[in-house]
Amino acid sequence: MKCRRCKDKGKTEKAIIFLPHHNLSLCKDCFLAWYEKRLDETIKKMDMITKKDKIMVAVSGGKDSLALWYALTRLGYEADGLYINLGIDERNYSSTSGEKAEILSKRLNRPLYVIEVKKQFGKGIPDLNKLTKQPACSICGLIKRYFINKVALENGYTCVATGHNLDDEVATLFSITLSWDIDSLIRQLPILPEKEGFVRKVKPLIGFTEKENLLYCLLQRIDYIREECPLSTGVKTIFYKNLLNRVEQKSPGTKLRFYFNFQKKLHPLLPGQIIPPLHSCSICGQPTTSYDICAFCRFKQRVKHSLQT
Amino acid sequence: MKVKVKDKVYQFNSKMRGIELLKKLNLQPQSNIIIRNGQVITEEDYLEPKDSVEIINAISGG
Ligand SMILES: [Zn+2]
Ligand SMILES: [Zn+2]
Repeated sequence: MKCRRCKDKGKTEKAIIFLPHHNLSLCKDCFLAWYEKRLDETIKKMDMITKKDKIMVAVSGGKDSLALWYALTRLGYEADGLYINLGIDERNYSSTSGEKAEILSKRLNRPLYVIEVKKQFGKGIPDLNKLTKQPACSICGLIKRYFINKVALENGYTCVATGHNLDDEVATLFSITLSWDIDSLIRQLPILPEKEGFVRKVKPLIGFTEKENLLYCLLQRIDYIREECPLSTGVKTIFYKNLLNRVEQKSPGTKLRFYFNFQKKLHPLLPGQIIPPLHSCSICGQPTTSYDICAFCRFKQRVKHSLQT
Repeated sequence: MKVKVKDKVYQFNSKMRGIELLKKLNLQPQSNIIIRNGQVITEEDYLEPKDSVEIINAISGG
């Protein structure tokens, strides 16, 4: 198989990937150029960020967020990293993923902010899970949402970018569509605009499959953590992703159509999101929908209480 | 050929296309990248018995 782009320019180069959903075969150089150009076009077309934005990339040490950080920097965007060390010692998961983020930070010569859950709570996620009986993934989500917003705002970032890819978004969309969860459908947007106390959040990789992000990392020699989180309960997500890839095999382009036609055709028909009035948390000052203390501070109190009893 | 998939190593002794290898291992082409002797190849490319192959999975549970 030959590279289509090179062929168009009258050259002959062997392809390293065929993308059936774009009917495109590309060599290494053409893939990298295609990926970065498509990323920039997505960002501009959807009005996600500009070169004036100070962007914080939430990096996990995985392929998607590291590919995003690297590609944004290559495109000339001003992007720094935030890594949240969850304190998961099993198979050295947190220390290894943190190292991958550090390596890329040095390579890009861009700062990496690090928040350590163990320093905040005295314990990592697995112990917090045992202590509070709250599911590990829900604790993790709460802590990440809180610090991503807080660190970005306190350090003058205008926007947070996350590494969600097409497969992630399609699996989520599929899952909530199966139960016609309208409230969740309303929230499925690639951009969450800034509002009082909340920084803008964007998902620039929504047009890319996991395979494309993986290939970008491999070709740019970006070292990422290959292991899944040992606490991950993503069995259902993986099942949906595999299922949708089987549909994709029969009918290439299904995932892109499902996601982008939802954004274009269905989302505008949904009622607007009802945003409850926000208050400042009386402990930390972060915005919250509850009248007194935010969910994060409440969790912190619960941990303290559990430790005393 | 020696085929590495995560921590497992498989042995195959006949020439075949990447897509056939993925099929034998019950892996989807949409979520796997084949590396032959250190180079990424498409599923259409052939693998020879002397090749050293690694398959990297892209799917994560998020
Ligand atoms: Zn080319
Ligand atoms: Zn608070």
